[in-house]
Amino acid sequence: MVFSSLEFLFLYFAAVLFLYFFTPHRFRNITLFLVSLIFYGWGEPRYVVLMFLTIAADYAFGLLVGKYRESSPRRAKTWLAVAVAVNLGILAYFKYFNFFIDTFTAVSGISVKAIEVALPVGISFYTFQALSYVIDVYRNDAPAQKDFIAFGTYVTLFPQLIAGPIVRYKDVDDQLRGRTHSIALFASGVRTFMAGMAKKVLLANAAGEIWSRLSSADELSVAAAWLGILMYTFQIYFDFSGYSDMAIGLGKMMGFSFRENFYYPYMASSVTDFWRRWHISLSTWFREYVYIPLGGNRCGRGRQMLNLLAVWAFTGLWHGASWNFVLWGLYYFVLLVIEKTFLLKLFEKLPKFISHIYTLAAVVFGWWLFVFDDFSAGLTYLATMFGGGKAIGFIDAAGMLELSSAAVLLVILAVASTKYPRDLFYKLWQKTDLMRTAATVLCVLGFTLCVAYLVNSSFNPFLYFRF
Amino acid sequence: MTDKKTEKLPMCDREAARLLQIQMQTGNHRKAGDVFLTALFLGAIFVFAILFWILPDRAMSETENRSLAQAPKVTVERILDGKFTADIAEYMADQFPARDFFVNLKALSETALGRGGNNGILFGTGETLVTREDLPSIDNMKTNLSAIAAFSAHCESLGIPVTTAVAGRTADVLDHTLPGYYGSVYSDRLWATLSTEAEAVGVDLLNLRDPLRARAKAGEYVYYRTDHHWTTLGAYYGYAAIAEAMGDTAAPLSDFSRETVSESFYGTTWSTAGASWIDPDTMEFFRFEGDEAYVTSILDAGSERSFPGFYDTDYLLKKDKYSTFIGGNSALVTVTESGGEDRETLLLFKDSFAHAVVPFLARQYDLVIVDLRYYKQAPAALIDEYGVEAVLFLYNVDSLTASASQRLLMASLE
Repeated sequence: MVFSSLEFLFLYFAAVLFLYFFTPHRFRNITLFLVSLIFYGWGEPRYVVLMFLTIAADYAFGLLVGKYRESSPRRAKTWLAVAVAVNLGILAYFKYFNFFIDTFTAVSGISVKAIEVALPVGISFYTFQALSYVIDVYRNDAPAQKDFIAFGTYVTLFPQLIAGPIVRYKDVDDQLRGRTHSIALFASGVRTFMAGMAKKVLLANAAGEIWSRLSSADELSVAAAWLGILMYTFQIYFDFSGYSDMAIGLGKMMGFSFRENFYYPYMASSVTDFWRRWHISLSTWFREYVYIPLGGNRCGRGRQMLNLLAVWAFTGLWHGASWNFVLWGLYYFVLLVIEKTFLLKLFEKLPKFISHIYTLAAVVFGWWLFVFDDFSAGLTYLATMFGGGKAIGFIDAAGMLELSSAAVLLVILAVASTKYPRDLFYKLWQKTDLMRTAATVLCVLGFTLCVAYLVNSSFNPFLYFRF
Repeated sequence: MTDKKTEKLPMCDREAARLLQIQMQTGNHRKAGDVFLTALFLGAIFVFAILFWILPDRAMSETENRSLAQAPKVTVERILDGKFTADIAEYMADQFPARDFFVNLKALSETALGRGGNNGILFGTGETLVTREDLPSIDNMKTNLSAIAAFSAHCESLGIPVTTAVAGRTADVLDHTLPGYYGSVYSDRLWATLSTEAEAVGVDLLNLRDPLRARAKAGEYVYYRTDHHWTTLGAYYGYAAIAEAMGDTAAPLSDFSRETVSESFYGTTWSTAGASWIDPDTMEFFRFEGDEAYVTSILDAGSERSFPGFYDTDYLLKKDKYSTFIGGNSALVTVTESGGEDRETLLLFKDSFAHAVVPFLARQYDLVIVDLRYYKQAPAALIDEYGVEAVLFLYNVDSLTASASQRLLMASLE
């Protein structure tokens, strides 16, 4: 179940709100835990068992690590290692097993039978959350959670269960013990949720529909190929950031405060900057739990490079069990190293728009790597963008039709990717009370339009669902 | 990446906190505004949720001309394999309160955004709705043409003349309503391929696109604006060209008295596009003396029925008005003159475009009408069974590319 669906809004969430606010404060975690399990089981009921086992195991690991943390650091470390091995083992089995087999077969020529296994929804997200808990306890950043329900709620919390933001345990530990609810916070949550839903349903889906049509077209003009990859660039941003906003908004409605996951990434002035703005919770996770433990930049230049390489190879692989994702991660590794070495210093001397254009070009190229898990199809598409491949001239009739019908949308997408609308909005908000009314009107309009698009939609995928 | 373990909140979180603070600041209307928004949100969610459960489910959507999803069955097995939840999604979308309003709103919004269409339908000038399909499947077309060629050779070896006529889609005939740069680019390509492929397998193709397109350009109302079919006038022009190709004399237009039977016909493209602001089409019957003496008999196993004349007028009261002509799609239909003299029998392989042509052809021939998308027996056997003396293939080009339905023709020869 995705948030941008009728059954979520009018069936599931309506029931959740009712149950949650009619539950006495101290039992609200139980309610949340139970409804989150239902949310998780909605698409793949069998995996609720797996989820339950994961929770029970990590609950036990947390207690064990917490118990030995002071008295026997060696035992604490052992239990931490077991926890990491179990969590990554489950992830590896469900997400990467067939990928390893395929790669092994391709390299060795020995054919091994693949397993039939469906990817449990959100496993990449909740595994990382569970790991963050055990590690935080080990590092004494948070106490072990004795309350099984509270811990289960943390792992399964439905707003961020299947697509993040990846919440670090230490950030929500106190919220699991007690939260304050207020109408003001709820209303703010509604606004955030609505903004996210509009991003997803009105912008991402529109862009995605154009991309899916163009990427599968039998013939394509150069201009249409560029329009296509631009549309994917917008789709993945609005899709994912919209989803994060919806999660943050839902969290607020129930008294949680999650950290931001996106900060206008397409306004970044360098690739380094881009990664401070894109999927922040994931880069933070890798920095906190991989890069720094490996030694970060404290062990010399060579070791730092190696650490970065490891982080980016894993970041790529995290996105999917396919070599193009690994390549995509390594591509960013190379760019980041180049930037660290000299490019950032050079950019300081150049006009700002140059670094901005470079960043956008690098990111769009990155999405090209990201979106094609079939290398030959990807290469053909890239060639088409430069006049080779399937290209039939600079622009053809179909391309003209796509461009002219997407013109307004393109402007909206571009403007909506920047910070300016939000800044203007809050500037006015502080000047006049009318903006509160305006926000309400926008919410109503946006909501009505979103429902209209959901009722009559054939195209409502969610890109990060499979990670 | 920073290595500092004691981290300061990143920019975005500091900003989010600041913006939240701005939202929570006391203003004159703060509390009232927040209560209002909260009430609206909860109200919208609960009202629609409750309406959804208490309003009766509709079986059909008249506007969209399709049956709607019904409440899914609850079984443990269906829940476990995820089928139940998938059905719930479809059920909710189909039975959502005020569905027609929302469908229409989306079409409006797409128009306002200058998208030039909705749900794959282009909005042409003059309120014309055009299905967009740039590059249909050539493979299906090849298969179909070879099958038609083989069957034609078989017929001709029996001394039965065969005519093959292909009509255009709205995009082919009303191309002048589309943007100039787009116009007939893909239509021309498709028809050039069609004629090459037909020639390659030796099918002598009667092109009905060009004459109808000329009529349309001259301002004649030959294709519906809201449906993918031709009008009765368009069908007449199609008939005239076919009659000429078959060596017959077409009855002149003056033989018919034109009767307007509906001024509120909304067709299939209108349903898909959801554009309810567009005006309906007008539907006519071309009546002639004695046309009530004919009998249309639908012979599909299990749903046999027959009615006098060519028109099942019950459909005029429904949305799907085009099905008035010979009662819509059936596998096998005959049209004969009751008590008339013994006439030549024409075997007609067709899609729904032929339905509006039937009244014209029936003046001269007893008709055996086969739709190979539904007919699953050996078509060659019909030749003997009905004493067929002439064969006509009449298709819209869309049927030749959409599926390889003509393959059955080959099978019946082996």
